[in-house]
Formats: sequence, structure tokens, C-alpha cells
Amino acid sequence: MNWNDYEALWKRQELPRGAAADVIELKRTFEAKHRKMERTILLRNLIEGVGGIMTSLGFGLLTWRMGITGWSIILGLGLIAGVSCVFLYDWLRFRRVRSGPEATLLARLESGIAELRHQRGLITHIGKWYLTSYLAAMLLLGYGLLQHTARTAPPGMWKSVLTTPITLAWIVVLLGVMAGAIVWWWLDVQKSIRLRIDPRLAELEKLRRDLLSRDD
Amino acid sequence: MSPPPDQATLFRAWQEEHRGIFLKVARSFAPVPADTADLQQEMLLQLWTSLPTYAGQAKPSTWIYRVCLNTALTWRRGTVRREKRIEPGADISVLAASAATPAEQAGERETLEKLYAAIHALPMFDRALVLLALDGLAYREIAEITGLTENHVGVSLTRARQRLAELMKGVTDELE
Repeated sequence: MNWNDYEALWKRQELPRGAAADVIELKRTFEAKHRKMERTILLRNLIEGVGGIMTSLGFGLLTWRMGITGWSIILGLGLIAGVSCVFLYDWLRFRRVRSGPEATLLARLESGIAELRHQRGLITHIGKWYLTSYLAAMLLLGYGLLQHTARTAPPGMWKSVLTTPITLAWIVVLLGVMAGAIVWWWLDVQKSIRLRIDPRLAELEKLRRDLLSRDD
Repeated sequence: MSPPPDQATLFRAWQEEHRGIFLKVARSFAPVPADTADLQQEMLLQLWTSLPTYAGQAKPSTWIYRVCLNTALTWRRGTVRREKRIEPGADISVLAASAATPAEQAGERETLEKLYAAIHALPMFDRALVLLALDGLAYREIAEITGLTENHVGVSLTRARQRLAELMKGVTDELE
């Protein structure tokens, strides 16, 4: 048998007539899936994006009304809002650049690979742009609040409060918990790169290599 | 000028007219019947999703091939089984040659099964190229679907055909 025989056989095959897809059922399935996905995306964006902006706005309003102002407060809140803006910008960018299922195979692959690389880069450097920004924001806000209370609290109050053994123990525990949470979160992020992004990226890159490989 | 058909009407018409594409692609990429049905459902869902963006620039078959192959190439076996299947009646293991005697039909069916198995054994993109070529698409059309140049399609297809021939060698030796 040669190629022509295969082609003839292929074209002769009788295709079974299954029940046609129920459009109403399909709509329902799609909408259910779509709604679920939309809800997930919305929730993530609310938490990561809008949440940060709202928090900084709310906290800014509160501190302003309480008369707590200063460059450190503004900069700290700006950093929190800035991180949120990065999330929102990235989400909008993803919506703009993603290829639909009707794109050519190569375009779709390129788009998938580019997106995964971008996500990998964002996650790999999350310590630099996310963690550092949040830690800096917390320090700045803390500094601003301390400066304010130093002006308004009775003299020597902070010194007496902060130097009791119980307060010091609480501070150590709190710092330990925070450090532990950061380490756990960091390991989790690395695990998600190793288990989810890298294998998928390798898979798509292999597909791309196969598609573009030529023996000539 | 008549208004464009609504999404549901267009979907129904395409599904009927091009059902061979869904069946052949699904079976070539997911030979286990339960997986085949899953993949077919996913392809139909993706087609439904992409329909609103169809502007008539590409031929419907080109569009459908793209959607089906993109879905098949990134589809993963073992995804959550859906309770409700869209096309429960389709049993694509029932393949027969219409204008042949029962013995010939059985022989052809067996060869066809082996052809599907050989296609499935090919690397992903060779599989896609062979599928398109077996369906009689010209290099230009295959290039439109894959995004490769016609020259590249020619080279890759030659290689894929050779691989298929090697895989089918045992089968054809048995038949000759």
C-alpha cells in the first residue's frame, strides 16, 4: 500500500452519525464554564488588583482624617497601589495579546510560550517587585505611624511599652511568623513554577521545535 | 442582503457539514473512546467560543481545522470527565467502507484501525500534517492552518509520510 491507498481508504471511511450536539446544552456548558472562569478571574483580580488599590485608598483616607500624614505614608500607600496596578496591567495585557483557538497552530503556540515565559518571569522575580514593595510599604507605613504617635503620645510611653518582656516576646513571635510565612510562600511559588509552569513550557517548546524542525 | 446566520444556526450547519473533521481529529489524538468523546466535546466548545470572531476571511473548514487541531494539540488526557456529554451517540469505532463486500469491509476496517494507530504513534505535528494531507488539503491550505510556509509544509509532510510508511510497513506486508 502506498500513500494514495491510505488517502483513498481515509476518504472512504464511513463516519458514524452521532446525535448532533445540543446547542442549548452547549450554551449552558459554555456559560457555566465561562461563568466559573470569570468568577475565578474576578476574585483573583479583586484580591490582587482592586483589593490593593482599595486598601491603599481606604487607609489613605483614614490616616488623612486622623491627621496622620507625611511622605512615608504617601510613599507606602503608593507602593501598595503600584503593585495592584502591575496586576491589573498584566491582566489587561493578557486579554489583549492572547490568541484565540482559531489562530494558526504556530501563532497559538508562540502566544502560549510567550505567555508562559512572561508568567514564569513574573513569578520568578516576585520577590523583587511584590515582596520587596510590600515590605517597603509596611516599613514606610510603620515609620509614618510611629512618627505620628511620637508626636502625640505622652513622653516615654512607647519606650515603656516596647521594652516589657511580654511585648518583646510578641514582637519576636510576630517576626518569626512573618518570616516563616514568607519562606513558606516562597517555596510554594517555586514549587508551582517547577510543577506547573516548567513542564507545560517544555511541552509547548517541544511542540514548537517539532513544528519548525526540518530535515533539509 | 440577508442577515448573517446567528451563532446557533451557523454552529449547527458547520457541525453537520464538517463532522468528519471533529471525528477524525478526535480519534487521531485520543484513540480511547471515552477520551475521544471528551476531546470532541472540548473541540465543539472551543468552536462555539470562537464563532463570534469568525469574520468569513478564512474558509469555514480552515477555521474548524485550526480550532480542532489547536484544541487537540493542547488537550490533556485525564482531565475531569464531564457528566454530560454533548455527543453521546457517536461511536467512532464503527467505521466501515460502504461499497465493499463484508470481507473487504472487515479488511478495510482493520487497515483503517491500523492507520489510525499509526497516525497516533506519530509526533504531534506530524499527526496534524498527515491528517490534513489525508483529507486532501493542498499545501497552501495546510500552510494557512499551521502558520508554516508552503515549502516548510512540503518538507515536513514528506518526513511525516515516511514515518507513517514505516509504521504501516508491517500492516501492508501482511496485506500483500
